[in-house]
Amino acid sequence: MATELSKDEVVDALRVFKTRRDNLLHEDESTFDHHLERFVEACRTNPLVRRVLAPLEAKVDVDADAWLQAAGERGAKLSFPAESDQELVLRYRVIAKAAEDENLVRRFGFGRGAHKMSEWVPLFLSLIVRPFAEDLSHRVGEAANMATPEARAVQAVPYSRIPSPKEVRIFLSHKSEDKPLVLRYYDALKVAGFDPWLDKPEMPAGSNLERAVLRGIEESCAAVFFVTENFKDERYLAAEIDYAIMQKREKGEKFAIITLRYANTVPIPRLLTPYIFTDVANDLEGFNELVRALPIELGPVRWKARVV
Amino acid sequence: MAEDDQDENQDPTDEQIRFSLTISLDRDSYFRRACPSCGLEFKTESTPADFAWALELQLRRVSDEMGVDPASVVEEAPKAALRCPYCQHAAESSDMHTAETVAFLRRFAMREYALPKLHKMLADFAESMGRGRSGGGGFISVSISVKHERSPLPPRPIYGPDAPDMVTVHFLCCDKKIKVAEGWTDIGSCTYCGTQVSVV
Repeated sequence: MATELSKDEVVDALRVFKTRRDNLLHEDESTFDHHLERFVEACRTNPLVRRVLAPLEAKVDVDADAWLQAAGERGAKLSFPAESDQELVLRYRVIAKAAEDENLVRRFGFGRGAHKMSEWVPLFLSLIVRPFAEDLSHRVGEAANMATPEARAVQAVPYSRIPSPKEVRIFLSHKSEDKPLVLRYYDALKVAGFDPWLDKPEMPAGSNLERAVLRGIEESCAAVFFVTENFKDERYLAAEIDYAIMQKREKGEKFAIITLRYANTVPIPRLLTPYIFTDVANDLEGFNELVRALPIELGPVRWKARVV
Repeated sequence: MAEDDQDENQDPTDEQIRFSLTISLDRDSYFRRACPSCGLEFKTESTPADFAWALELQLRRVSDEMGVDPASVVEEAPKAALRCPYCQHAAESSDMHTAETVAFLRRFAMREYALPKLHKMLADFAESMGRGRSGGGGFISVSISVKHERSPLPPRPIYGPDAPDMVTVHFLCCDKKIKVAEGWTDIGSCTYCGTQVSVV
């Protein structure tokens, strides 16, 4: 079984393979023998190339000597196996033999009418090496893909879309009789990653309720009103509606007034009717409507710290 | 499989020559670039215009070196500017190519344009000299036979493959993506539109 390669090892193996390949294909013919040896060495040792060639060499049986003998006859037409794996292995064996036998390329060229080194080297490169290098490059690229995990992704967020922590709270307005219902929303919003504002947890003993509520709404991007049978548009609730409307006028699209009505027999306060309101049958439906109406969204998915 | 074609050149005497070249992208269809200022590599999604302009530069260079008529690319698409995600250097996308890409385009320009053009020039020269000239009074008549032997073209260059490395960065400002080195988060502005951004 092939050993695992790190991403850096994959990148390095590809770089070495491409360098050896391009040196062989494009450097001066006076250095051809040297680059041929180096290329064949890379084919024998490069971990990515081995992943391609090793299984094929074990599987495919081709007679490179017989092929070379036939190809060396003057005027003979070159003929390669129709099956691509066989062709790749045949070309590889011919190239490997050329690295061991310094006269092979010359003989191959003579057989094809090339009588000078400046002719037989390009001929061998074009007819034998380049098709091999092209096919091998494609397969090595696939091997590199297989050996590399999917790319991770991050987001680059424009500054204009990054709010201050002091403007992303979610103000939960309610009658004290509805506290159990609103606490369920508070907990769900917290777990989802939002920052809800609820009077009890946010107000130390002795706080001025009016000021605390005002500050809570000022630090929020949404005010959520829970309309149940208990709801009455009076006193603190009336003040919270007024504060929310003030914020809406000041912040525009960056502030949402959201009304969730649990009892559709109860009228929506008239001041809230121009804004988002929806009848909900249960908490899940209400939570869904609430999150959809918020002017903020949470970030990309990531693993929890405790599992990595 | 048949023998590999030695020469797929178009006729270099045509006023317009259409080149077809294949550039391999990584698994996620990103193309590797290098900043001409800091030298660091990143990847973007690519357009054919990037390569057309970069190829034109190489066509001019190899034409100068070989002493053949220079070629200019007929490309309608405007040049786009990119900003380096590491050093914020701004440059035309056609200037943000890796040494590997530049070498590939240079070899391509040499093989597909300059060498065929040079071969043709030499063949024309040989033909004209081979015809000889007859001199008039006061001139010496010299006849020289010249034969141009066309040498084989070098192999066509191969581009890639490219490793599927780096981390994807999604710019929410213009809904475009790039790839940068693992661990790099100090991307001050969008590579495409220059909007100031923060990586989260």
